[in-house]
Amino acid sequence: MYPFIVIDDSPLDCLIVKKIISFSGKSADIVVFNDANKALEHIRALAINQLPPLTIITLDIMMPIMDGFEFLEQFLTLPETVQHHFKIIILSLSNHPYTIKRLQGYSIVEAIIEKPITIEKLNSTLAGVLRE
Amino acid sequence: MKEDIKILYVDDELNNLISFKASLRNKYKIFLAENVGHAYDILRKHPDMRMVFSDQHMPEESGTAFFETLRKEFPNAIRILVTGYTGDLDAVVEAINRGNVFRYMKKPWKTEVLLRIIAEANQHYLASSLLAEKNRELERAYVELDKFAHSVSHDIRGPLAGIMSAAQLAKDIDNPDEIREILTIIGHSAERLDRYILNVHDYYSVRRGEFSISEIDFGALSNDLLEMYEASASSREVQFVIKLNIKEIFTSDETGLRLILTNLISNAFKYQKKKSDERLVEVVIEVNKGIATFLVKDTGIGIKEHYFSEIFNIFFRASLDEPGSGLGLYNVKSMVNKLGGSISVESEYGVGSIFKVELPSK
Repeated sequence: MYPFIVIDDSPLDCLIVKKIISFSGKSADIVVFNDANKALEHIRALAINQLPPLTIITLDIMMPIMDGFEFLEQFLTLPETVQHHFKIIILSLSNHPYTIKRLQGYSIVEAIIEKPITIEKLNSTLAGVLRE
Repeated sequence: MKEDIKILYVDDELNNLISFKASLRNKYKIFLAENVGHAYDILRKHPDMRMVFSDQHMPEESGTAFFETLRKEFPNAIRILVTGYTGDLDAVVEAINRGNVFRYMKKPWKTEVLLRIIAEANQHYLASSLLAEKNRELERAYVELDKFAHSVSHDIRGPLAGIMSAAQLAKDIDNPDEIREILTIIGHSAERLDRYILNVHDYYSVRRGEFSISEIDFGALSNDLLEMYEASASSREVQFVIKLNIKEIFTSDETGLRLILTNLISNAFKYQKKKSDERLVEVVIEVNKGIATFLVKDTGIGIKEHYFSEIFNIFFRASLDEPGSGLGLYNVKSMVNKLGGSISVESEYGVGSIFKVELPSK
């Protein structure tokens, strides 16, 4: 069981992701953000000694105001000791080769799930991410 | 009738220049140059020169060499080479290959030949500039299409993916309350998709721009709008008022007018403040001196000033609090433009917005 942070501009998608995570039995502690800026503020506000050992972030890519890539860039400016407490999974509609290639340039991205998300997809991805 | 077509002739023989101008000055704007340097002076002052005639045999530089450099600096001017030497096939071949001339004219020329060449050159110019304009239009359309394809993947696949995920999830659940909640999500996703498709439909009807102009019955229009938004007004506790001040007959495209008003009014309802005692949407319509002015005022969340210039752009969204396609105001602005009007916005962040549309009677 790990806490989750869900970042997606669509409130409906957030709700679905939240439901899928809770029904998969993977977590009961799920925080959602429609605005990636707010998610960053939330992460920055957490004191290092309060951080759980590991939090999973699911991140959408195509979002207005701050998109997934900007979020990743901002996330990389956090102290490494903070970064180590998170694993980022991209949860996006885009399977465009260019987007995938660009995402592969970020070592902090653990996995990419293409929407629509299902319990099976989430379970198998998490199994891979957590085995490492 | 004298057209505004500018023609330059370069020749070192004064007599040729004089006779050239004499036969054409009533029809075209003629410029003469005795040497290449002078020709360039004129061209820099008149970069819209439509055609340039040049003698081939000039003391400093051949016509071919002149055209070779002219082609780089003024590619749009159509080049016509004039030469007195007959049988000078090499010069002609070279002129065509290096100077890319449009025609080759023999000296002495007959006026009718000269006029025919000018007419043909002009046609060539018009065809190629039309082609260039069409190309630019295509490029613009392509950029728009590209944005469109991008948005389709997000705005159509997004809600669909939501529906698919939720349907899959529902299969694994036994609790009827949970299932009902998931069905609600599916319903919302389908509504989002439907709204998007309606917006796309609007987008295409604006682009096609087939209008039917008729007299607008503002009384009937205002009753329709009041009826249409009755449910929104009562469920969101918003007071909805329409004020009419119609001094004369106004004709326009009613479908276009409705597209403009319903988009603006829907936004006014959508972007109301969540916590507020007094919520108001007010529409004021005035017709005076051939101009209809529409004001759509709301007591909503307002728009930050640095977004004013962007809100009418395709796929731009300033707020995440409400679902939007980024097409609504773009469609409004396109329609206002097509009807020959203007749109502006005044807004204070956290207080409310006023959209103002002015349309001329058609």
